[in-house]
Amino acid sequence: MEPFDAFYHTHVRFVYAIALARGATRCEAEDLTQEAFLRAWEHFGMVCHFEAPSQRAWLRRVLCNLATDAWRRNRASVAVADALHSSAETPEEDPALRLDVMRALGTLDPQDREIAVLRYFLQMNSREVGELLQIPESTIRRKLADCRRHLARQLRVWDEETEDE
Amino acid sequence: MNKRDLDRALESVFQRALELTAEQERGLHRRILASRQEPGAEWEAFTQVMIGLRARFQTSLPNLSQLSRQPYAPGWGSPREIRVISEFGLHGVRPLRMKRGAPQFLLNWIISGRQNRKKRHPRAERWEGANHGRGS
Repeated sequence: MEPFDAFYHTHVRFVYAIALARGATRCEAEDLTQEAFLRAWEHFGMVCHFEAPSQRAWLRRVLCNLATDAWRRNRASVAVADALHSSAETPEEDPALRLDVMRALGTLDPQDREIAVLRYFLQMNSREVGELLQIPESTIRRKLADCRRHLARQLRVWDEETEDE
Repeated sequence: MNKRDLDRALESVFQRALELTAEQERGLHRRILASRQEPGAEWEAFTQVMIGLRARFQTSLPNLSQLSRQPYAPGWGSPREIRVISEFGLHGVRPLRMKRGAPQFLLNWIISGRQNRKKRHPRAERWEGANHGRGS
């Protein structure tokens, strides 16, 4: 496997998750992920020498810049409801669940949204999230407690269904 | 429900809702590979266009060295311009050696030289008129 392919497979879920946390729809998240990896390809001579956490921090910074540029171009923030209408769902995906999760995330502020996605989607712990976002671990833990309470209230229905399964 | 159970339940919900499927991941990889090839293809197309343009311009726009190799042919320019050149010449260049299709700037240069000469020698105009009448 080429070094760049290995790099891609290591970080693709991370980049995609950050794009979603920035409020992108699924299609936009894919486009942003593609752009971020093309930037990485252009600078791969430098990026390939980084440690994995630094690579993630670099990719996150690039993706945030790209998302900001895209937002400036469109001049319209992405409505959470667009997630359902703008992208064709794959058969195994539950659009209602997806919509509810995006809606629940949409009620958080941008930093909390990113923390929640990193914690619950990428299953990073508080220390890793803190290092990535350059925020003290104690602050992350406090914010996570708020997010947990908030999300549990918003997604109570789905939690009950999970228990039924 | 305690904190750990709540975390586990939220992880499960997030995984199901946001998961990047293997198919999506492969599709994205293909798109990235295709985009990586694009700059090379664009450069190739640009090079082809430039080569084509160069060949076209070489045949349609002869440069000055090609002009200088063309033989003199009578009938070039307006009668006044021919008279200006044949009467005054220019810095040792014999009038009849002026080439057909010479660029406009060269002609302007010749005419301006004649005008300057008129300023320096106001009587030359009368002499020219007299000579001209005598010659014809």
